[in-house]
Amino acid sequence: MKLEYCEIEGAVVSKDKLGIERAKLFVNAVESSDFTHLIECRQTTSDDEIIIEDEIIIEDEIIIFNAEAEIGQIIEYDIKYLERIAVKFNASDDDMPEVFALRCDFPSVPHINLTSEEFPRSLCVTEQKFSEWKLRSTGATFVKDILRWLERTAKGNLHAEDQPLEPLLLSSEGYLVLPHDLFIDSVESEPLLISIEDSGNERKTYIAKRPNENDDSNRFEFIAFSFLTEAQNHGIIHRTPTTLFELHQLLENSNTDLLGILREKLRTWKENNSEKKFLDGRLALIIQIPKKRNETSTPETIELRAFLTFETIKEVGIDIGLWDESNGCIGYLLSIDKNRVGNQIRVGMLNPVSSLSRQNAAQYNNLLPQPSKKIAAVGLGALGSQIFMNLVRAGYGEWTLIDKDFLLPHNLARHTLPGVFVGGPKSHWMAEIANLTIDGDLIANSIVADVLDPSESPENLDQIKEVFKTADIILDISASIAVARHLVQNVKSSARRISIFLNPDGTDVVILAEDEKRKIPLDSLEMQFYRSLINETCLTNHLKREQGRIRFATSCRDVSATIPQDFVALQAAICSRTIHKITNNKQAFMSIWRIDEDQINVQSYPLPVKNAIKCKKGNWKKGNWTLWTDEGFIDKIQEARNNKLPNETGGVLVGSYDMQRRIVYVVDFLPSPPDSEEMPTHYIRGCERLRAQVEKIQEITENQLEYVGEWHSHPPNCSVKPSQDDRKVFQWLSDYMIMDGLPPLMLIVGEQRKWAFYLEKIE
Amino acid sequence: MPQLTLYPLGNADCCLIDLENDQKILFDFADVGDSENDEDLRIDLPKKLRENLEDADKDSFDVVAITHADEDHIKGFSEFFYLEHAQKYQDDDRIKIDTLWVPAAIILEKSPSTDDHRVLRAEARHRLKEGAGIRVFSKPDALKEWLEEQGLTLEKRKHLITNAGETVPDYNKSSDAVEFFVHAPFSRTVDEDGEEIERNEASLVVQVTFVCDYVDTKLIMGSDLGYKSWEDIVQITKSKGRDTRLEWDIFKISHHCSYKSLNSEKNEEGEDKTTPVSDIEWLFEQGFDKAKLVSTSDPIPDEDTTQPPHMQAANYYKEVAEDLDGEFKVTMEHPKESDPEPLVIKIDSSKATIEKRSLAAATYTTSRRPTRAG
Repeated sequence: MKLEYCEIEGAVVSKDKLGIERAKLFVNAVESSDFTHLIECRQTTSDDEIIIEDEIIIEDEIIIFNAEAEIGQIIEYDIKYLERIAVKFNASDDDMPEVFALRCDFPSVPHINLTSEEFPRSLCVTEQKFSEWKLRSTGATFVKDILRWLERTAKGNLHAEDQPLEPLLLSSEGYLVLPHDLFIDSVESEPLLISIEDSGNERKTYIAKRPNENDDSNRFEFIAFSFLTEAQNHGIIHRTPTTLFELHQLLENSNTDLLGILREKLRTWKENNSEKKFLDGRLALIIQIPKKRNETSTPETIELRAFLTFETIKEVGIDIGLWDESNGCIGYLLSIDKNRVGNQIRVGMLNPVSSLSRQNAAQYNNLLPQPSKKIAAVGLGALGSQIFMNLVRAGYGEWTLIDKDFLLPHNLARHTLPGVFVGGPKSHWMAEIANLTIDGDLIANSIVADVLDPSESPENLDQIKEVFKTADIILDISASIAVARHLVQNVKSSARRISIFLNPDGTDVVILAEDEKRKIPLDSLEMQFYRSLINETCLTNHLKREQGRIRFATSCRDVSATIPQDFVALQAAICSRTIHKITNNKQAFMSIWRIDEDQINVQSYPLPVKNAIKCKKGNWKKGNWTLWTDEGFIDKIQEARNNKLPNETGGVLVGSYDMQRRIVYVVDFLPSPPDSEEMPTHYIRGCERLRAQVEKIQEITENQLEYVGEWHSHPPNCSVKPSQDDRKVFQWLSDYMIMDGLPPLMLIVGEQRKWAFYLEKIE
Repeated sequence: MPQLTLYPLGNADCCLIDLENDQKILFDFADVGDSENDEDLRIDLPKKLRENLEDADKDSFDVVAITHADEDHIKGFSEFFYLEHAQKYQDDDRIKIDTLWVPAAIILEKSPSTDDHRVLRAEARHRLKEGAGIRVFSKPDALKEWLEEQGLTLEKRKHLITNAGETVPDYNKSSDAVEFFVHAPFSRTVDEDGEEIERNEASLVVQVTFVCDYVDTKLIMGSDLGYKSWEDIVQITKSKGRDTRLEWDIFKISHHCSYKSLNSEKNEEGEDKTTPVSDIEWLFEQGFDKAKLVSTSDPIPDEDTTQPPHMQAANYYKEVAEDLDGEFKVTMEHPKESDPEPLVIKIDSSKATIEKRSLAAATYTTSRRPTRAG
C-alpha cells in the first residue's frame, strides 16, 4: 500500500538555512519529539526584482515531517498512524502557521479549513486566535497540537463536541446571521432579506431576516434564496468557488442543478415583486447540505454554506441566460440561453451562523434544555433585572414582567438597563432587551402596573389576573412584604411562589420557594425564616443596617439603598442558578447566602423547612381570625413540655399578625422565665428578663416578630381543654390584648402531641 | 480500561496486562537489565514493577504466567517473588503471586538449567501439591505419573489443569471482560520429547480477548514458539473450526523476531525477507485492520545476524503491518533506540492504541537523578 503525497512549493533547504524564527524552533521540536520525523525543509523567496545582492527575501518556510499519532483500530475517520504533515510559516508572522496533511487521499473531516484548493487539506489544529496562541505556543506544543488533532479527529472526538464549525475561511466576506429556525420547515418559500452591519475595521456582518411589513426595505442590500441539496455522506464543498458557475459545478456532485433552480427562483420572485429596486440589489444563496453517516442512514447533521454575488440580481439574471436588459428595461429571453452559465458572476463566501435560539442559549450555558416554565415576575429593580437577564441568556422561561417603575438616573448604578432608557418603564424595556437577545417567539412580555394597585389602568387588571392564573411560577423580586403577602393571599393561581430579597446592606440574599403543591405557602416560609434569624446566632445581624441610605429626590419615600453593584451582580448570579435548581425539584426551599466582604467569600445558610399547619375556627368557633403555625414549632414546644415533666411549664408565644387579613402566625416561644413557678398541677409564668428578650426579637426581625400570646403545658392524663384557672388567665390576657386591638391567644400543650390554641374567645 | 505494558528488556520478555477489573497479570519475568550499568538501556524491571504495584496500591500480582523456563523469561524470578515453598524466599519486600500459571513441562523437567528454573519448579510443584494458587497447562501422561508419585491423582488436581483448546475457567468475558484461550502447550509435546523437553515448543501460548463496550480486542501471546509448533496450532485450530481463535489485533511476535518462528529458512535466495510457511502466512492474514505487532527484542539490525532479532523476519512482519495499515514496534526501539521506555498499548472501544506521549522536560528531569553539581 503506497501512499501518495501532495507536492509542496519552494526549494528544499537544509535546516540551518532557515530564516524564520518560528520555523527554526518548530524544526527543533519536530526533531526532538519521539513521534515526529523530519523529512525536509522548504523555502519560498520573493520574486521581487529589486533584490539586493546576496540577500534573499524569504516569504514562507515549510517544514515537512511524518507525524506518528496514537491511532486505534476502530476509528471514525481514516487517519493513518503515520501522516505526512507540512507546516507553513510566513515571514511576516502575523497569522497562524498553516498546517497541511499531505496525503493525497486524506479524508474530508471536521475542522479543516476551506481553502481555494481542496488538497492538500488545511488542518484547523487550534481554535485559539493567533494573538492568544502565540503567547503560549512553543515548537513542542505546536507539534503536540498537531498530533492531538490527528488523534482526536481519528476518534471523531472533534466532531462530537458539537460546536458550530468556524473554519478559517480564507475568502470569507464576513459572518451571515441566519434565523435559528431557518430550515425547520424544510425549505423557505420566501426569500430572506439581508442587511449589512458595519462591524468596524472594514469588516461587515450580514444579517438575514424574514420579510416583515414594518421593515424599511431600503435597509436591505441582498435578497437571499435558500435551498436544500440531496443528503450527502461526504462534504461536497471542499474549496471556495470564485464564480457562480464554479459553485454550480461543485453542487452538481450532489445532483443539484444550481443554475436551473436559480433561473426558476428568480423568475418566480420577479413576477411577485415588481419593485425595480430589488433588481439592483445583490443576490445571496444559502445552501443547506444534509449529511448522513452512510448511504442508508438518515441525515444527522447539516452543512450550511452561504455565498453572495458581487453583481446585482439584474446582472445575475443576464449572465444565467434568464433575461436581458435593453434601454433600462428587463425583458425575458424567449428561451433560456443555456450557454450563459454564470461565468461572469463573482461569488464570495459568507460564514453562516445561527441567531441565538432558546436551545442554543441553554446549550451555551451548559444547561440541558428544560420544559418551558411560564414565569410571572413582579419587580424589575436592580436585583430583579439582573436575575431576569441571567435566566434569559440561558434561554430559560416564558416571562411576563410586571413593574410600574420607570428608570431614573440613580437606578443606572445597579440596574441592567442602560442610560438611553431613562424615563422609560423598566418592565417594558427589560422585555424588549430580552426579545432582542433571544431569537424566536417572544421570551418576555411586560405589563406596566402596580400589582397592589392596578386600578390606575383597569385594562391591566384583567391582564394581570390572567397572567397569574396561567403562570407556573410567580416570582416575587419586589423587595416588598406587602407584595409578597398579596401574591400569596390575594392572587388566585396554582403557580408556585418564589420570593427573593436582599437584606438592607445587600450582603445577604434570601430565597423562599414554595413546594410545587403549595403545601407550605410563602408566608409560612417567611415566618420560618424569621425563626431562623432569632435562633441562629450567625444570622441575628441579617436585617441590621450598617450603612445609611441616600435620598435621591425630595419626596420623603425617595430613599435608595447604598448597595454595591458587585454585590447585586453576585447575588443575582446565586439566585438565577438557584432558580434552575428549585424548579427542577418539587420540594420547598429556603436559604440565605451571605457575602463576606473581607475575604470575598459567599457562605450559604440553608434553612430548615417545616410543614405548615393552618388552624381555622377549630377551637374558637365564632372567631374570624386564622392561625398559622408549623410542625417545627409544635416539635419544639412538645420537647419543652416533656423536659419539665412531671411539672407543668409554659412561657410566651412569639409570632406575627397580618391585620389586613386577620391572620396570626405563631412562630416560636420563649423559655419559661427563671422566676416562674413550675409544679405538677400548675404553672405560673415569671417575668424576669422577659421584656428584654421580646425586645431583642423585635430588634433582630425589624419588628416582624413580636409577643402574640401565652402558653403552658398540661401534665399526663390531662386533656388540653382549659381548666378554670386557664380561663382566668385567658381573661386576664384578653383585657390587655383587646386594648391594643389584638386577639388574645393561649396555647395548651398536652401529651402525645396534643395541643390546642384558644384565640379571641374560649367557648 | 485494560492495557498492556511490554518492557524493553532486549531479547527477553515481560508483559504486564492490566484488566478492566484492576487485576494485574504478568506474562514472564526476565530481570536481565544491569541497573548498575548506565550504558545498559534495558529497563530496571523489578523497580518498574514495584512502582507499578505501589501506584495501584497492591502487593501482589493476581497471576504470574511463565510461558516457559528459559533464562530470557524467568531470570531473577527467585529473587523478586515471595515464594511459598521455602522460608528463604519470604522477605517482606518480595512480591506475592496469587496464582502461578505454568506449562506442565516446568513441573516435569528433570534437570533445571538455572537456579531460577530450579526454584520456579520447586514453587510450582509445591503449589500443585498443596492444590492452590496454581494453574498448570496441559496434562501429559508424565504429569499423571508425577502426581501419583506424590500420592495424588490427576482427578484430584483436574480443576487446576487447563488443556490446549480450552479457556482458562477463572476468567470469562461476561463477568471479567476478558478470556484466555489456550493454544499450547499440547500434552503430546512433553510426552513425545520424553526426558529432553524442547522448552520453546512446550511453552504457553494464549489468545487473550478483551471486551470493552461490546468490542473485542484480541491479543496473541506468541511466546518463543517455533514455526513447526505454529503449523500444528494452525492446523488443529482450523480442523476444529475455531478459526476465530487465531484472529488478532495485537501479536506479541514469537521468539524475539527470530526467523525460526516463521520457517526453517531465513530467506530465499536473493531476498532479504523471511517467507513464512503457508500456515503461518494464513495466521498473519488473520490480523484485523490497523493491528499492532510487537517484537520484544533488541533493535532490528540492518544486516544479517545469527542471533535474533533477524532483519529478514522483521521485514516480513513490517510487510504484514503495512498490509493491515497497522504498526510494527520493537520494544528496544520505542520510543527511540537511545532511550527505550515501556511500550503501552491501551485497549478500549477503538481496540488497540499504542500510547505515544512524549514526556515533558519537567517529567524527565524530575524522574531522573541529575549528575553531580560542582
